[in-house]
Amino acid sequence: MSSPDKPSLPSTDTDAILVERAVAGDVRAFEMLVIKYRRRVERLIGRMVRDVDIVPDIAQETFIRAYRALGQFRGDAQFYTWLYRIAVNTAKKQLLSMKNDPVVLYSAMASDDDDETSAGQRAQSFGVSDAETPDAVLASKEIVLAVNEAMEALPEELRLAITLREIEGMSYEAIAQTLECPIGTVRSRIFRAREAISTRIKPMLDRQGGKRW
Amino acid sequence: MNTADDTQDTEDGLVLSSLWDGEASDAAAALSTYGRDAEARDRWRMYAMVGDALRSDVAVRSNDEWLGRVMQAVQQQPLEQDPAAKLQAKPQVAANDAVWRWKLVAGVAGATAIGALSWGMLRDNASVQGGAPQWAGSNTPAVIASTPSGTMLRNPDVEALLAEHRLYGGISAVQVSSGFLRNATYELPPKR
Repeated sequence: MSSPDKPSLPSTDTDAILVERAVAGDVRAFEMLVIKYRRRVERLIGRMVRDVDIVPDIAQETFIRAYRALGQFRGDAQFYTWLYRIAVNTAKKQLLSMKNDPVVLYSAMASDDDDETSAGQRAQSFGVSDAETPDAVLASKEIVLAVNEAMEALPEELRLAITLREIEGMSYEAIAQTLECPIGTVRSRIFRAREAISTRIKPMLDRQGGKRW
Repeated sequence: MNTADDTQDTEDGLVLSSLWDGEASDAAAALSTYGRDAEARDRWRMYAMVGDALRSDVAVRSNDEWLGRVMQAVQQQPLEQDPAAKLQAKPQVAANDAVWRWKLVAGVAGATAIGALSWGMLRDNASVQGGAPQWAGSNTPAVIASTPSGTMLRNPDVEALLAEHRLYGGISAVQVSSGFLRNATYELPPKR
């Protein structure tokens, strides 16, 4: 197990490490970034286009363009800021090529370097859904419900730790200060919370079809 | 699964969870786990979905087909290099860079130019020294002649030169009155 109080790298640094590995030819590292940022990129694109059917295509194009340009990422900005900019440009280009009227919301344009949590909150406030079909909408609702139920069932210290991390976007260090416990304990609690939620929703995902999620 | 496997599984999960949050102290180990272990990849996707569900009211299962398309396309893409790095990696060679061939050419050209200039100056000096006695070396003595205008010092060589270069106008090429030369030739008596 990792040393509890080993100094942690900030989020951007680990993204930068994944980028570095991807540039060096490790495609798996880029896959991790794709999985990590896919939904956030789709939410951003979803605020720019009317037709939700084209969102996955624009997201795909965004990641392909990002990969091509990965060598130019110098780490001056955070990775997701850089990625969001590519997403906005790709969506604009796509809309222009379709001679469509881009529904570019002011807040979406002004926020491409905002943090992920606020991006999620804006997605909610604009009522944009990522789901394309009624089945997908239903499946999505089931997942959310199951996750929320799993959260309710968590011991308080685990629920608090993962809430501060995932919803408030706090660093391990800040959480440790808030909860007055070592960083290693925070690390462990967040992991255990995730595992408990995963264990709870896995059977439901299997029922929905497919072992992979 | 035995205890050792459980411990390893927990260890891998802890490292991945930390990496997900950008707090991994050993990112290389997490990457290694992800690369070799399908369960680790499932775990990574699960973390994505749980995070989405917690941050918004939308949680969509990671679409294998979509991810497969992206990764397939990515593997066929060339990575663009950083322009600055590209310049550093392959410096442009200018024609006048310090290449020994150009140094040689420049040296020969410089030496030739200096030689030509020196030779020209030496020849000029020689011609000046050789040509100086044109007048000084003239053996024809000047004579004093009495004219209606008065007494003049006349030299046959000067008279011959002036005859060859007769001045027809009263203005020289530089628009200066040539009264001196007119007086010097002095062929006709001045009109009164």
